[in-house]
Amino acid sequence: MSPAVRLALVRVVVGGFSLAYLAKRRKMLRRVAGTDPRLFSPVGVVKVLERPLPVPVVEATVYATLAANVAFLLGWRHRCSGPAFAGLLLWQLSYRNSWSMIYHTDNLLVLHALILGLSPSADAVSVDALRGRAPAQSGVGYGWPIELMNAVTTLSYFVAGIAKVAGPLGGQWISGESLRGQVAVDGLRKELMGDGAAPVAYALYDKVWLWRAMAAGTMVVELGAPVFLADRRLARLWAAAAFTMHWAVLAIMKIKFRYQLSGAAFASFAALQRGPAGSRAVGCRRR
Amino acid sequence: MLQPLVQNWREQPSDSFPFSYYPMFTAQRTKGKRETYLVGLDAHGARRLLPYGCAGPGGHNQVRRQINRSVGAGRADAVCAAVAAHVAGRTRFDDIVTVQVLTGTYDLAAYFSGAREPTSERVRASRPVLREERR
Repeated sequence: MSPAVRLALVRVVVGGFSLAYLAKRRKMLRRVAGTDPRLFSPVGVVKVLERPLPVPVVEATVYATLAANVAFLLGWRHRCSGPAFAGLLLWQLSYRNSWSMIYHTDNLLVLHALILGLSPSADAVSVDALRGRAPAQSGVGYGWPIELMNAVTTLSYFVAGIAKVAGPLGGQWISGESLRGQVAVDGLRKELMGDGAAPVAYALYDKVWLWRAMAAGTMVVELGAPVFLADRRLARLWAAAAFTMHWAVLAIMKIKFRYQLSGAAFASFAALQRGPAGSRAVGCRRR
Repeated sequence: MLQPLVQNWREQPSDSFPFSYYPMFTAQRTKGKRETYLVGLDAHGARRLLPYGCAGPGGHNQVRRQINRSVGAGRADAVCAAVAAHVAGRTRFDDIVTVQVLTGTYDLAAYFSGAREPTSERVRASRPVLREERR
């Protein structure tokens, strides 16, 4: 059974990431909300809206999400703040993705927040625990959220892998030509409207064997993801491989999957309770 | 989590959030790529590419898609007007006297070998930068 501390530390890592992520983007979220209403294409839970919300309302929800995020991070009144934060983050990022472009960098963060917000992830390392509001830590109920997070993470990569082989190229995707083409198109777009393609993309363009190797590696990480869950050590190996893949994507395409690049997306795979923070938390509880 | 997989076999797939079928990196890329972008011209006709931020807030791909959507819907002039107003209000674009919305086709292999010119290019909209528009 996983101890409450492990789950709580995952909450702290994910909550800390989301707080930094949202706080940095609060002005951008406001500006996006003022975009031409004709470009509004609601997705997910935002589909309940027929037209965009007034900008001040969006701004209020951004600050409400930030406030709930702080409570979630601190583990303060988690029974209310946990679900509230998860729901608000789901709404906030769905709304942000309702303007003609879905950023696939946000999916896992929302799914992880939902799991942590709806589970007893603040029974340790929290204000609730310090105030004696958290229930006795029997161990029951602390393992499944971790296992669910790991399953959700690996399945998201598996779904991405299926999309590649189910696409127009089928199994030919592994030839590397498609991957090279995608990188080239992305680089061209960045040259025309962004801050330029990654220099590595130019350096590697003619090395077809390398694209083939990267395509094969991608398929192992994505299609093979659920298989790695069978064993805890294999799962950690997979998490390290996926983490490395995102850093490679950053180097070659300058695409920042910030949640993955920070390592927070893979926190549920790590035995955080064995680290210094976990030892301190356990020590505090014992005293 | 697995429910979005069905989108892979739909004629008109639809992505969603946070449950996605992750369609990125799946399209079949042809040798030539058509893109719509923004250009500024100075008084001598010299051109420079304008960043996506001139057309609206948000990330690069979001604004790029919004431009494509607007231009595709026949609103290239409106995009151009918004870009001209943005440029007029920024000192770093003081040399720009005209903005254009262009659609060009690029040969990817040639582009990544150093031949950066488009194989064809079409002006979708053009507009002078009126400095009175400075905010």
